[in-house]
Amino acid sequence: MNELVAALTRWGVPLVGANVLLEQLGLPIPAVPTLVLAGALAADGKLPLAGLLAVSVAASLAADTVWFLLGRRHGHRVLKTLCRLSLSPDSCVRQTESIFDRWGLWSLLVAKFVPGFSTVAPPLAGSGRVALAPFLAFSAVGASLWAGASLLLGALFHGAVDRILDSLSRLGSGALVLLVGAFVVFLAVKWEQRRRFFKELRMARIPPHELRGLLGSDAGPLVFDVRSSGAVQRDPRRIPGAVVIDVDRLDEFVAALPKDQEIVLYCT
Amino acid sequence: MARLLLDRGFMAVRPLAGGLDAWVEAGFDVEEVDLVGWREPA
Repeated sequence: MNELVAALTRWGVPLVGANVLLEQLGLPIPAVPTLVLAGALAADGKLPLAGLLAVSVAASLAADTVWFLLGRRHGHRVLKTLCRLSLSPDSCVRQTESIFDRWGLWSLLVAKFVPGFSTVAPPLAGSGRVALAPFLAFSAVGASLWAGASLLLGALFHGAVDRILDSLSRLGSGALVLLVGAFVVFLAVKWEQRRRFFKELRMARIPPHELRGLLGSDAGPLVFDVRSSGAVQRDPRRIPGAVVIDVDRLDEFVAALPKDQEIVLYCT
Repeated sequence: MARLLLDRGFMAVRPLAGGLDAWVEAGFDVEEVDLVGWREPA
């Protein structure tokens, strides 16, 4: 463990930059613990705080720019792919679209603090034809707030962080095994949740040809279009007879429906 | 969304596989959304 801290002290700035870059590109490698640790080391005078902040913002902007340009080039398909890979796919596209539709570029100021939103917001901005310059400006401020807050947290509580590091150091190489084990368990739990969700979806989904057949019958299902308002405005088509639902008013829409009413819903 | 409806007691809720894109790709009809007066359930 001492070696790990020594390495972080020596290579702290590039390590933090690499961690932020990989996380913001979408890999499940949380950067906040590293930033907090780096903030604590900076408070102890072992790392340059300004350098850590600068490299974090630069790495974050680099990843955001990649996703923004992919979103601009490939549109909504990038979002779908991202959310398919996401560890929380059930809340991915729709929630992100809703947040972005409501707050626009301002949402980028807090995007890094919202799980799932951070990686999806840049391609969403790109697909929405937002200009690159204001996107970069808002992203830079958002990244500064996020990285700055994490570094500040580490700096403020550097005493506690140091004590944790001392405890881990006493465990020797076991500490590294413990940390890696905790990370593997975290990934395994999220992956299992993801696998169950997709299994559930596969079991319950209705294919388009079956829906079309049902729509022609007397007791056809109600079809809900649950895309975000922005998505509907970008593509104002719907399945004939579908009800475009505002999710915030879901209870109003369904209050009068019998509980055995068959409902089919769709996004993009 | 499907979960929200299931949580509210609806028993027969199914997402459309592939969403609107799959419906369009299958060549089935679509209609324009009236963005001013969205239809509400009867």
